[in-house]
Amino acid sequence: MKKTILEAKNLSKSFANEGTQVHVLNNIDLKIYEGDFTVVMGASGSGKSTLLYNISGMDKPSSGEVIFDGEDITKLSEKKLAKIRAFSFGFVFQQIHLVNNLTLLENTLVPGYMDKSKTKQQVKERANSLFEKMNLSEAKDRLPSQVSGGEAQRGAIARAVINEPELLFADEPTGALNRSNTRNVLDLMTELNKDGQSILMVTHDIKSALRANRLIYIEDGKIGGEMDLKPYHSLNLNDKAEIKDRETQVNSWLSSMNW
Amino acid sequence: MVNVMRDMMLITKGNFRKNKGAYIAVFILMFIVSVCFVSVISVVRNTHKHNKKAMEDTGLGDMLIWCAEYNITDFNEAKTELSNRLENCDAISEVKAIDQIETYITDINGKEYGNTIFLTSCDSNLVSYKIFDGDGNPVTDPELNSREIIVPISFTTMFNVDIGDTFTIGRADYKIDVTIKYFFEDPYMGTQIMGVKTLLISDADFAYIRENYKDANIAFADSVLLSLKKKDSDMSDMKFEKQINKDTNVSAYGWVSLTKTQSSYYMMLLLDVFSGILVGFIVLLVIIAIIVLGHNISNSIEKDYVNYGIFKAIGITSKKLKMSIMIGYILTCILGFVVGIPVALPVIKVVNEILRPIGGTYVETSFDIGMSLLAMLAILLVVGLYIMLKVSRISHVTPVRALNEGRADVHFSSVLRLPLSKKLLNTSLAYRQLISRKKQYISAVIITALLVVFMVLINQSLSWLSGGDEKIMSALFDPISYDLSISGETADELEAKKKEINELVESISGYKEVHLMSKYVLLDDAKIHCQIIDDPEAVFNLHKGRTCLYDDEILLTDYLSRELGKGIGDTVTVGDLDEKQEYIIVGLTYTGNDAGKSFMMNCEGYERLNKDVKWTWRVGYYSIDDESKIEEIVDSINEKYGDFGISAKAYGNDVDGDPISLALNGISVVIYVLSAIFIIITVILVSGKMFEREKKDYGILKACGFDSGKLRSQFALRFMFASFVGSLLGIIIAIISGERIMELIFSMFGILHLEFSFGAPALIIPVCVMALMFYVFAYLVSGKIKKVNTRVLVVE
Repeated sequence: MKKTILEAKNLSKSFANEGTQVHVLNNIDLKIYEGDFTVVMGASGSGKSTLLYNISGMDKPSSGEVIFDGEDITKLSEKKLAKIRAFSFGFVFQQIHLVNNLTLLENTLVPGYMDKSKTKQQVKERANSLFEKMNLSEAKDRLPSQVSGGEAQRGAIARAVINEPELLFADEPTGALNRSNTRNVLDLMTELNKDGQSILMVTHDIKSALRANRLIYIEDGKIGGEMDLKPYHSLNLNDKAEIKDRETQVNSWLSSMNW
Repeated sequence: MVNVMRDMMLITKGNFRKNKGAYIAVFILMFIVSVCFVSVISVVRNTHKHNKKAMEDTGLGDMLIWCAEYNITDFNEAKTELSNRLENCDAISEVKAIDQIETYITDINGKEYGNTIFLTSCDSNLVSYKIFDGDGNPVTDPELNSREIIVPISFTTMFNVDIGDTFTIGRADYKIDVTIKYFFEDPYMGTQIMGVKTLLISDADFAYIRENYKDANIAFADSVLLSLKKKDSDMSDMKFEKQINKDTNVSAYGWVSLTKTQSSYYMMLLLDVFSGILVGFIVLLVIIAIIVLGHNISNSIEKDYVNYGIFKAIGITSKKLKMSIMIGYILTCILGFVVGIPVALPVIKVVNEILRPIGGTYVETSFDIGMSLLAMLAILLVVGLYIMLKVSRISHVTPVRALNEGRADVHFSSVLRLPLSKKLLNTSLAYRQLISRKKQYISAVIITALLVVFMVLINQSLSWLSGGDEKIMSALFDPISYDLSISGETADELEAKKKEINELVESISGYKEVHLMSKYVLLDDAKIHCQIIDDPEAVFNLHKGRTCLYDDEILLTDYLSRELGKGIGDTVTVGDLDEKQEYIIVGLTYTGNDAGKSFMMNCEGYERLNKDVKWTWRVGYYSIDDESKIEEIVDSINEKYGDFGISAKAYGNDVDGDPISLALNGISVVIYVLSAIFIIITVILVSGKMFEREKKDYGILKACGFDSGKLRSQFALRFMFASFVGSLLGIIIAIISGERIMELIFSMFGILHLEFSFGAPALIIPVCVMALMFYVFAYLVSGKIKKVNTRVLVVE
């Protein structure tokens, strides 16, 4: 039995557009489980990013609840929500959003330093080990403008996981990257998931979706369907047939969802 | 041509729409500049004009000489002799001799006033003063009953009295209580800065005093005011004075003399000094306004960079674009000036009312339009040239470069970079943001520096005038440094108890006593204030040469030395009554007495001019060895000898209410308030640009777990840091140039030489005030950070 770490109930989001209401999310019920690499897919404008921002506390839904740690985070004060963002959730954006006057390491240290339970040394050690794991040791003292897109995005992931969040949200994290950097970032996320990191990622890229062990399809603001897969890290990556099978399986499921 | 204008107006309108906030800020700044400039210019020029006319309206002449009975052995004989001499003098066209009574104020609001008072009959047909009621309305036909008196308006602030209040004139056993009925305008010596005052009493009272107190010249002495008119109106007052003294030696018999020029100088002294300070500050505001304007223009150019490319691509020239910006800002400046002018009128009224008791004149509330417009035009010209300079970069915009946004990546590297601190995370992040975008804060730094220079100087002046430990006040206005003074109502009263008093002082602490006497004598044929000292070694403010040890030596102030063109080693002629002697200048001092027109000699020196002089002192100045005992001595003397007309006073007891301190306090309030307004505008403008640029960073930091409070505090801290840098710069400028600036200000008081160091409070207070203002305003302005949603980071 999987443990639920986050649950959305009757989640709706509407925007006013030239006098008319546009319903982007319609009464969505969704549970995110511990240890899962969940990927949300859907066509452009289907509401997948909106879903991600509303259940991660980055935006407020029009109605519904998002339960985390027994509390409805949609009703929390700004201070409490900020605390959840700092210590319980991590977030990776599609564009590389790093503070441009801080080095990659400093970008990572900032949220780390907010954790009063850790010493400066402990935070630094954790950041250095993350940078090593992400192959970023050489770039850590460079500014975002001085590194490649892939390096910057890996830096952003390091920042998102510095405080060992319970859930890592990623909004098309490879959307702005080239092929080789995309692969590096996805490998890194797979690695993190293997180590027990729960991930909820939004993407419209099938290659990225293959990394999930749970796929959710969203269409017109509603959940169209979902599919469970074997964890990607449990696959034999040298067995090309196994990978091909997984790709076919996902493709056919997506076709069934009118992708 | 029509098309060109139409294009430019369209672009200008567009600029107005897009940069509303910036134009509003420029409007507010220019509005403030306009109100301040028009007010100061109008008040100063109106007061000068008014005073000149008021002097003429009194019917008095170009030179006034006050002669008193006690000063001359046979007053009536001397009066006749003087009249004869004056009537035979070719340089004089008219002589008026106005009878007066010289007296003193012994009790006004519980205090004694040490200066001489001249009583004049209100009904005298030789002089005509303008009388006013308590509301400042003119009284055309004043009715003065017995024991009623008319005083200069400056009495209200000098002694905190008003119409209906009673005070005592006379001395010793000869005293009269009088009640204030009206105020009058004395354009010759009504100002608070001049100690000697004329008061008007009824004809009946005047006759009564002369008749009943004719033998009591220690309290009421016969006196005459000689008013002399020049024959040649083109002759300068100084030349006239020298000519009269040379031909008639009349001033030698006078207690004090004043030419119209000297009188105007003293009457306008405070106003000129303070308006000078204010004009300096307003010029500073104009500079700040121009800096802010430049900041705005750079902002709007940056914001509209792409649009300029588009305009150029469709054939609009750089010239048109530049002109459109220029028109926008110039129109805004003009609007600010125009709206500011009528608002200045109530300000002028208020300032006139504040200055009335200080200046002693009833100046009309009106604009000096000509001069104000000229000043505004000059500012517009400077602003116009500056805008031209700022918009010149539009010429370098090419359509392609603009459409590519024309901005290169900013690589930040600085030697000032410090590692992030875990404990002071907010502060270190704020510091990093500050040094990575230094250019944005340059205007804040420069503005702070300029304001701090001004604040430091004003604070230092205030600290001096409030009598600090170093007794700088003493250096400015007293030739000796002392801890307490003991005075009798008359010299005889003090003399009688002197031995006992000194024994009492000695029993409490060791002391040194010095005596001073002020007298107006002729120095190279001009009547000049002289201080005669019995212990020349006690002279405190000597800065060049040595003190006057021998009977043929004198000390001059720097100011007088410059006026006479004579220095140490030179000889001058000093005269009193019919005696004249040569003296050598042996040292230079600095003092604000008589606006610097003062010199010193020892008692033996004066005896050469008047060998019959009897040295009786009404006041003794004491330096106490154990300063902690000063209060005890003062209390003991007042307790034991108060009933004998003797009183003791610790140094600086009256300083709080002095007009210079009051006016400087007022100016410092104005400066702090205007600084606050300018800081708000600067913060709003600078932060507006920064906010747009940093919106993404706030989103990122919010996503990382920072709440709005922390981000706002980081934002405000950056401005506080910038203000610290500016303050530091300001302090350095103040220390380097402060002495020169202060000397410039104090030279108007006749003090050409100042030795000072800045006190810690004068430096620290402005720095703290600026830092606090920047922090608070930046924190308030950063309220919009609350509205930043992490959705700014979302690409959809």
